[in-house]
Amino acid sequence: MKRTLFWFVVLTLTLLRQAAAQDRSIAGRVTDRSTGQGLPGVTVLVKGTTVGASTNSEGTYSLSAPTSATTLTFSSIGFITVERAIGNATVVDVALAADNRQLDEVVVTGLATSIKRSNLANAVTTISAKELVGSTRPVTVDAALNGKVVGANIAQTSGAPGGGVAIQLRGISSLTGGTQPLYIIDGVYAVNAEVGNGAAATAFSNGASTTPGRSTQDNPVNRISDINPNDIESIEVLKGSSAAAIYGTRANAGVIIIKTKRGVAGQTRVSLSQDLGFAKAWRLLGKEDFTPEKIDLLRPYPANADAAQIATVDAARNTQKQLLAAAQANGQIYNYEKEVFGNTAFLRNTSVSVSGGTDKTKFYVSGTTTNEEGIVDRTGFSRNSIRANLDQKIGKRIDIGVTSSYFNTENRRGFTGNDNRGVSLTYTLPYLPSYAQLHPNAAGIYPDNPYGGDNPLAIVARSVNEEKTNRAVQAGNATLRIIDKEGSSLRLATQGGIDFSSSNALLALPADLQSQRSLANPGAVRVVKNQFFNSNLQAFLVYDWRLGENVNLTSQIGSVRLSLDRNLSYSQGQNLGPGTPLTPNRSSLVTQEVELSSEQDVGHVAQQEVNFRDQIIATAGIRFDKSSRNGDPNKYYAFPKASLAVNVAKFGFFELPSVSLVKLRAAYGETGAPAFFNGTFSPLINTSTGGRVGFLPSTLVGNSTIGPERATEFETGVDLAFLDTRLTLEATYYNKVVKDLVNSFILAPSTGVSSIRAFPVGDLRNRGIELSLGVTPVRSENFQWVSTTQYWFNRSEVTRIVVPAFNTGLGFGNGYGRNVFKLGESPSRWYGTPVSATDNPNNPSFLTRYQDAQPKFQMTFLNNFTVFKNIEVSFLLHWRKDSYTSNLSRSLQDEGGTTKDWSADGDGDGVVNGQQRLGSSAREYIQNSGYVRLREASIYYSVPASIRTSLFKDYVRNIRIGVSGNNLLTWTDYVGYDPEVSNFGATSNFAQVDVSSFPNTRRIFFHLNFDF
Amino acid sequence: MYTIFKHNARPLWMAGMLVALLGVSSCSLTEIDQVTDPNNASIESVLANASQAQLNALAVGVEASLRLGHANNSSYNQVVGTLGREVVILAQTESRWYLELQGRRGNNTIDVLDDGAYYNGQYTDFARVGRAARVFRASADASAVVNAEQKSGVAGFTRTYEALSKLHLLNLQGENGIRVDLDNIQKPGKFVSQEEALTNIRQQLDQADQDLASAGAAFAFPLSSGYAGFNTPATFRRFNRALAARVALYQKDYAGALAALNASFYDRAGSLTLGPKITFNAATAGDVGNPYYQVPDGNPTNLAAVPDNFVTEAEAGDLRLAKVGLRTTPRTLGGITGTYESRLFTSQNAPLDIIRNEELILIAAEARVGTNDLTGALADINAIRTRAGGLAARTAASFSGTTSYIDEILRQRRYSLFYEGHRLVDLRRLNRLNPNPAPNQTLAYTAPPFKLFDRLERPAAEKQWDIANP
Repeated sequence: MKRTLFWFVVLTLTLLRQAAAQDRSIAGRVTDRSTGQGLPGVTVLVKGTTVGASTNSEGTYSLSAPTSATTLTFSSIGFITVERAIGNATVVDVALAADNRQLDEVVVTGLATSIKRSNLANAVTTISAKELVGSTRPVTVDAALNGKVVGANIAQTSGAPGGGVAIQLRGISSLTGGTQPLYIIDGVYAVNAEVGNGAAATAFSNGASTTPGRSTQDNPVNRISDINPNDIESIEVLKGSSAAAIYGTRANAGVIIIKTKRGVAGQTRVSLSQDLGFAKAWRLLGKEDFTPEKIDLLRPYPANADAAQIATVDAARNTQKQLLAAAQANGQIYNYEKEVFGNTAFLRNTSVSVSGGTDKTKFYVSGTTTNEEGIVDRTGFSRNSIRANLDQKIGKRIDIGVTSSYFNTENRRGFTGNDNRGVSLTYTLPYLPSYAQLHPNAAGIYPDNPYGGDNPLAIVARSVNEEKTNRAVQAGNATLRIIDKEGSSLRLATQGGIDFSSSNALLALPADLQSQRSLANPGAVRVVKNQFFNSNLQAFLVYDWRLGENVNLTSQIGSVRLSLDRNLSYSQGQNLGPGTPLTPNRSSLVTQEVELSSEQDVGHVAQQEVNFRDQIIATAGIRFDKSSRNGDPNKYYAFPKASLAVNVAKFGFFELPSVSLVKLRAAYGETGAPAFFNGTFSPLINTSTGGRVGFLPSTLVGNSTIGPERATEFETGVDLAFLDTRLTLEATYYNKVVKDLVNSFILAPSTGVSSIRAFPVGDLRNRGIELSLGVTPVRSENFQWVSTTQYWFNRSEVTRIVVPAFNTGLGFGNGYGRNVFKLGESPSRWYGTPVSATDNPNNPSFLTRYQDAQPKFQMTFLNNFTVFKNIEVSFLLHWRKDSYTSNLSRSLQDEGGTTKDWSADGDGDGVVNGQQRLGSSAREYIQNSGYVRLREASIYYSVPASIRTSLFKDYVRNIRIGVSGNNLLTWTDYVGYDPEVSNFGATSNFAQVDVSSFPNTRRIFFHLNFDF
Repeated sequence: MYTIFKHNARPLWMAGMLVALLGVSSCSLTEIDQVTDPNNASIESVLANASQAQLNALAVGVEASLRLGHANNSSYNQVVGTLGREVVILAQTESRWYLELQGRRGNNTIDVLDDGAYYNGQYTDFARVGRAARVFRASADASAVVNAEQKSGVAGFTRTYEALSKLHLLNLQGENGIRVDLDNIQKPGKFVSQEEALTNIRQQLDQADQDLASAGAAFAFPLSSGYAGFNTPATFRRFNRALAARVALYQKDYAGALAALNASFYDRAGSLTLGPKITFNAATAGDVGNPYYQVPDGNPTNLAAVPDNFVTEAEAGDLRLAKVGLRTTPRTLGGITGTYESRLFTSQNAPLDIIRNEELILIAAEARVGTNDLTGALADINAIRTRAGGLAARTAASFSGTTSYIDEILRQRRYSLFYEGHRLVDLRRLNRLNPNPAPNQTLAYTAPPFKLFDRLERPAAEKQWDIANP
């Protein structure tokens, strides 16, 4: 009740500020300064109020303003906002100039308010639709962000169709809970779970050995891949706590705010676009063929062998040599890697959108189908989506908006990655000599693979790993303008949304596959259901008011409620009956699992913003949050924030026309992450023996006092813009300290308890620099060149630890490298063999200290050229300098004798490379995964009006054709399929392990776009 | 005036409505329910006033827990069997099985085993046995549904399992020792030496024996068919004494071993397979199949192959050679050719012995040698030779001194207890873990770059715990 009382007081105060008013009519036309054509969709507002209109398709508008109105503001995305005094005029015409740097674009800073970029105290990255997918067509939204967000570490963790992308903003924010940023789509807390279906479970590839259920090694997609990138109007990335504080708990890893396209008043526009393309693995590992000598080398005699043992080995050698000779004689030497991964995949993307409306009603409707084949036969990704976004004004005081979208996606990813059965293609191929004969006979029967657990060609043709998802994201918002005056407006902004995602997956290995026949229960099929239901509600009161002529204030208070429910279940059958259908019904051994979780958060927010003539902008706010994931679900935790921006250029003491912006800014904020679901539970695991059901104490115990971990961030920087924003610089330094990081408290395993599930184990500091330099070297009638260079790095260090040093990330042990949470070190640094108590007395387990997985720095170089107004060329280069990955890929080939340089002897010591490397320490596996990548490049051509009208008269307004590419070129010393991959998907510390991942692809598209 | 009034009144009215609305709805909208674990029962639910059904479930959990260290990716008998060179796991996708665990990486020898690798996984699994036992005992003690006699039965049962837990850990860790004081999970005791650990285990077994002595005629909880014949306090004591005999032998307390055997189910003429077992059932939810079963001549990813010397060094006609089979297609990995494979189990539901009469007879033989009862020892040896191996009995004259008796016992243990986790422990305790432990008994894969390890490395988490808690 305290809260309601507070609201009442605020309301009463605001009502006292009411004043009388009368209306008058103003009309005019807004044009593009460079072309003189009318600009539709420009927002015209009476300054200081929410009274306004938008221009129609001809660029004209009319509105009725209060008599007290003195100024109109004209704003449109992509143009510099203009203010015009009204005086006594009834007609106000304006010409807007294009804005390359968009100082005036509006950035969301509160949950219900926004702020001009030029007044912002944080470095918030905004990605427009054009930047996101205007060049090429990365398969998912998050993949499309790669290289475009300064301060972000983004990696496509799998090359499998449909992606799988991990994003880390400003270093390591959490070790357990939300390590991926929070995605907010049109106000909806979106599902972005990365849930495996069990491809690596015991019954399938067994990659996550003896894990019957789901694991991080299942090569899953993250659910943001359902979202159609073409529907996105813009993305804002709140990278650190100082910007994201208003989101409170769940914002520790940053917030990615996605706004989808909405209708614009005016003539109805229809846009039709068709992309056709193809993808190919950008690199294959290659192979080395076999010789009799190599066969001998791979089959040495045992030490002190007796005659019988020598005879056994000789027999084995001879068998192989005969097979080799026969294959050579018959010309049956094959490149199996090429047969499996060397295909060209066809990509298609068709999109239609219709938008338009009146000043009262606006709509945007779209439909898109995407179909991407994988480079492996019978793999692929498809997505069908429809969207309807509707905005309606009801009377003068109420605006409502509805966002409705439905997605249907399908993934067929095959089996790749780590394996303990011979099912994974990437794991079997390295052991496969090129003289093996694995092609099916005339009857279509695949022969057994004597060099591995299964015949990869049979796995391609017969295994099933597919997932279908139906997802609906619905959001509604209503704004009620309680007071609507110049100099004082109060509105109630409410918003609610749901995100319901339901996936059905089928995994199957028929019983007659080679890998299955040797099992006690041959044949496995699993039917999986994953359901997620997020819902959120929020209500805010926002009060804009003025103190005197110079101070604008915005006050807001509000409440937020969030619920997340999920139901993950599967039914699995083993010992399958022959033939089809592949269903657990036809098996003798059925197992199942149901995993439920439910979470609720409630938060209250208050924020005050003070703007002194756009010169000094100060904001302070606080959020109180409670969550069912905390030990005490009804305890509130406070997350404060404060920020200050000073627009030096607007003080007027240097009236240089060339200076558009000199802004000094500083911000501090805190965010949290409640402990993960389960963190408070000490379960008794179900078990049985002798037909009786039993309780087995889990190796994990809960912590009933756990609270959220808390990131505190101080960010400061300077934003400069000169020469009509032809030269801009954004420079930011941040210091983000995550306090009371929640992680398992690793106990002495002798106790039978491996850890206390959730424990505040210590503090971690992330510091970094982000620089973004924008230059427009040429801006002439017929040629424009816009160039953006970004540079950033992050350094992490453990500053406090109250528990024993523990492993962070995931790995395969000391021999291949692991990461440790240790005082004074980065939690993503690699440690590995050799072990030496004398050389490394202070290192965990006396291991050798290797490099950090985090890159030294990253840099991107984005260039756009516009030639003769109708040719656009752009390219994006991305440099990741000296990141390190634990890479086991080459060692598999070395063991199999198939590495391209296996027989060479690099150091001339008489031991071939392939055998020498296998004797190496972890140094061999901890590899530099830095790269320089031509991430995107494109050329577009807009068909000139003369040709267009001669073909289609006036029916078609715009025709655009183009060619683009994704991951076109990569320069790297890394020796795996791709330096970005991760066997374990998205990991908390971003230290990746590569075990024969699905090869990443180079994608090329042809585009055709019509606007009607 | 009218206009103005209207202008002001509407916001007021709306604001009032809103306040009222939010005031009503905010109570439920701002409250959060405590979420309890929707997927599992909680430990708290049994620690106070457990029902009979809950206690039964805890007993089932204790019994089931002993299979955990066998049914994982570093199965106890495979890891210990590799270190003792009984088997070699030719894993197509994990070369550390046949290289690193045998002291080799590529063409180099490694100095220490990995303290963070998969092959230490069974450590926690066996520690869980002790934990399950302690939770059961604590729950029974705090429950009103069992009487003092029945609580004593629970104590005897759980202490026996705790001792089993520690014994497995000690077998893995050897001279590294183990922790024995484990009651407080956040304040475990320090590591103690192997000798101290054995003393502690023996004491715990003795205490369990006393508990069982005052446990009445029947347990208050069920045991599976694996305990057929051992499922009352009186008969379970015989199992307890069998374990005590094993520990006494490890302690070289031969008289103690013989005393314990007398109270056990040791029977020179009895069934060799008599003894409690871990049962398996692949088709029951929550249960698993026998992890050591492999399809004969199959092509599993992890093939438990058997070094040739198991066969070549056997006496002609030894029936126990049926435990291995000659593969039609040998598997070669990393230069190691697996000609033979383990066929110890004939089905995935075959049980695994915890301790059985065959071992007790061999313990008796060794203890009698230790107490200089060579005649008795020979009788035990010959019981094994004839009954288990189908071999001719040996005469006393064929032996020359006690060492030759130990050689013979070691050989019989090799074949009788093949791939049951004993070879490494036997060679280590007898100080014979070397390439030629006894006449006509060799260990495979010992020449460089291979190397013998007598224990696993202490897990990294244990090391870190001691660093943080000096």
